[in-house]
Amino acid sequence: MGTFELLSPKGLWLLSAIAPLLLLYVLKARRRRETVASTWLFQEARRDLVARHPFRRLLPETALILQLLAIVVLSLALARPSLRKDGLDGDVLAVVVDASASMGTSSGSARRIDLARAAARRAILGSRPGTRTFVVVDAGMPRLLGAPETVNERTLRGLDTLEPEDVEGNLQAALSLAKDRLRELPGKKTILVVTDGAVADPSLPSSPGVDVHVEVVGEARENTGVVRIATRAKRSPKPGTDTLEVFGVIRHFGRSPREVHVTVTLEGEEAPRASRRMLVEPGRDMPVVLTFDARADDHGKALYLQASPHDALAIDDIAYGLVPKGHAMPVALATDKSFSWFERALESDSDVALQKVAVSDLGHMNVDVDALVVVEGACPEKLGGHDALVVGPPEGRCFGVEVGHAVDVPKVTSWDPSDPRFRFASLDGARLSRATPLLFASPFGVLVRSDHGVLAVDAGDRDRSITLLGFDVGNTDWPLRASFVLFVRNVVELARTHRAQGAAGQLVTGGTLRLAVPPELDNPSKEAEIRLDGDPSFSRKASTRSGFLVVSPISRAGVYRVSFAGEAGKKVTRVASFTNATESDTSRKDMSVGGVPASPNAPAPEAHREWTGLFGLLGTLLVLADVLLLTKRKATPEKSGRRRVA
Amino acid sequence: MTGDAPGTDSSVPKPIPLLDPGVLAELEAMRRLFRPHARSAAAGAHLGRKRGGHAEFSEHRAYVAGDDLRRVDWSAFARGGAPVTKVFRAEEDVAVRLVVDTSASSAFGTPPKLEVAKRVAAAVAYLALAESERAEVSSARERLSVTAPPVRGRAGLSTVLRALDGLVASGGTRLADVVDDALLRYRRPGSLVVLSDFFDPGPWESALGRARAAGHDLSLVQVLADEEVSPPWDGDVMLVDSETGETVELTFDDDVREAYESRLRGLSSRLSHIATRLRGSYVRVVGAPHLPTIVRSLLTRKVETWAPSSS
Repeated sequence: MGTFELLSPKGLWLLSAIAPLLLLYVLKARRRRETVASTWLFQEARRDLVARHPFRRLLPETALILQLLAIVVLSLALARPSLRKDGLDGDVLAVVVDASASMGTSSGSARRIDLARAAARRAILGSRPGTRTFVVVDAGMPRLLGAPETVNERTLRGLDTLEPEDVEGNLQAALSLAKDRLRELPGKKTILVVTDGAVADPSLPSSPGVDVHVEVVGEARENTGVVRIATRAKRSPKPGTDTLEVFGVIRHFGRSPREVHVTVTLEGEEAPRASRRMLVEPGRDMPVVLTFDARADDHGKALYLQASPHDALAIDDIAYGLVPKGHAMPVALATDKSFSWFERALESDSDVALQKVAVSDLGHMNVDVDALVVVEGACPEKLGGHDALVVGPPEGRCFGVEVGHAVDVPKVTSWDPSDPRFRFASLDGARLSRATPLLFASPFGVLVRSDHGVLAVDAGDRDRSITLLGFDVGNTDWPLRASFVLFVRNVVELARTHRAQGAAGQLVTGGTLRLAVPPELDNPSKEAEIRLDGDPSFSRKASTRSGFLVVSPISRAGVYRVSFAGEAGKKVTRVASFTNATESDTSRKDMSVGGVPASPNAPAPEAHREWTGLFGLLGTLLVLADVLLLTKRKATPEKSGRRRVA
Repeated sequence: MTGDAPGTDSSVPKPIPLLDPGVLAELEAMRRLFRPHARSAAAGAHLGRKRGGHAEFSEHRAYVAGDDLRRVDWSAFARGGAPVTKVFRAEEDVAVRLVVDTSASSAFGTPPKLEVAKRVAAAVAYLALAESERAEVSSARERLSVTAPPVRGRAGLSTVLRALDGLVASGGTRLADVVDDALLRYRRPGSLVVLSDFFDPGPWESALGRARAAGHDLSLVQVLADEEVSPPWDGDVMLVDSETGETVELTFDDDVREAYESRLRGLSSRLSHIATRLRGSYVRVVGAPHLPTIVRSLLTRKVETWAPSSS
């Protein structure tokens, strides 16, 4: 049933009016004394009245009773009587609001996020006065919306501006954050999760000492979204063009098939470069490949893969990509040799655009940011974000690897055949006349071992590969073997893969933007600015480090433009897409807490209900009744003239 | 003149004369109406009811052995051949006993009820004395108290008026005891005029019945003040009994007023029925009405209420 309590006990001060009222009544009760010849007939008359109207004898007390009742009732009204119900009740209330991409789904005339805001507001305002409340926003990375406070204005203001982000939610993480925060606070703890049920895992864990409630908002809707995008450039028979393949996966979350129109449009153009009409089956991934010829001036442009007509959730109806810079992989060969085996191997690859530079010019030449850099006989001071193959570095330190003294006639004892660089390539039978062993601390990344130590390592990181060969291939017979060419092509292919990831913009919202920068821009003192197409208010600043520009997290889908201070001509475009099947599935899952199903569409029960208004009305009615009773007047009879009475 | 009797106060200033010349003139005109029904068996100017030796021939009846031979009508015997005896109505003396309520309640009203009662009593006494009857004034409180011995004829008027003048209001009321005291004092029947408000819950009705059975002619004069007929109060009042000091708290409204007036009408009605039943007369006097009119109602044995005009 609930607990009756007074929210403002100080209001009972009005009860102190009872004493003066009784005193006044006692004084008032001293009636006017009138001497009469005899009270006999008056006593008889009173008895007659009482016999006819038994309750009449209460009349003198009725006004007092009404006044006393009015005082008591109005005192209670001032004391704000409240009935606390079970359910959403506690000394601390955490409201976890799902602000993931699916909350942008339209639900009638409102969006799910609008319904969620209203539900959160209702829960906060309906909590018992004195309850500390705070909001945790679930938008991929959970965050607090203000500190726990008893006065909710700031929290409510923050709630009013809450919008869905183009990311997948993580209710588990948000719930953990809420529990961590609650642990620090005393009293009864309650969590209300407000979500649309479009979650990866609808079963939320229960927690001892914390009441967890779930309110699901929004109606189930059918939705079609782009859940994957990839681009690839191929050699085109047309000179000066590449054939660009845009690969997309469409998934339809509905009951019956739906026809959609898929188009590819480049930035700055209205007419699509390619389009396809397709029938998407419910619950199946429907692949689509759209092909068009990309000219040289299309390189680096953003492209939009769209499925139309738009439906309940608009954000997943478009995915973003970039037009790669040609099918040929740029390779910069930095060597001072007049003859280079690597130059010969690279020139033989028709999918390589070779650029030869002097070693000393490496940091100053305009080298494609996605290029593979091959350096012979030197260790470049600055590499930027390039993939690199360093051959025969001098003694000393090179990319964290200590290059030792030269040894003669080392024997290759093993190599790593699982490494993509040695795919179909081997060093079996290769003879080396001279080599400089590498002192490499990590047990991982060793590519080639000899009887004199490690001869080849991968000194790179997750974003790029830096292959160090501790020997000049000219001091071996390896170049005469086919495996050398395969090795070179494998290294190029590895770089191509990295380039494809960066160029095609396979960044998904919620992830981190990592942008490889050329050596001349790799300067921590030079700040880069990141802006977002279509949102003039968006601006982030970041500095490069170790050849990369890192911006995290990216929570908005769209086309990002990166510009470097003082480098007006150097602008880089990157894209982030919202491609997430979990969020695109706008049907509702049955939520549960600790295995117990949560009621769908059940609004959060009110923590308390105040009865101030009712008591105030009752008190006012009692006052009115008293006034009516006391002001009741009847005409007194006039003294008559001489009359005869039988 | 007699000395001060109980109920008189010589220090009280003389009131306005109880009978002014105008009233006297009107009373003179009503002398012929004065026919008291009770008889005291003493000789007087009025024919008594009792059949007796003197005065007026009434009828013949057949002679029975033992009749006084002097009352045999020989002429009628000679004519009729059978002896007959004459029957006569004897002349008797009528005593008018005026019992005036002088309890504290009679001081109530404007003018005080006692003053009104005195004037009515004075008027009745005048008529009696003018007819050579006897008149006597007594005061009624808890017991009967004779204020002056009985007087006869016009010469006794001043005694009666002085006795009435000297009456003051104090003490309680026990009308039943007063009437019984009157019966003990007045062995011979007479005209008993009781002037009171009758605000007495005691058994005065049965006492009046006893008085009638003893042959007294009853005249009941209920004297009330205007305020007693129409209480002027409103709201919360505490009424204090002027005789007993008892209190009753009331919140005066229309219902209370109606209930009281109903009780008052009931008392008057009861007095009226008693008067009718006992072949007496009853008059209710409110305020200070025209005196001769009241006396006329008494003499003509009407049951009426008289109150003064508002002008």
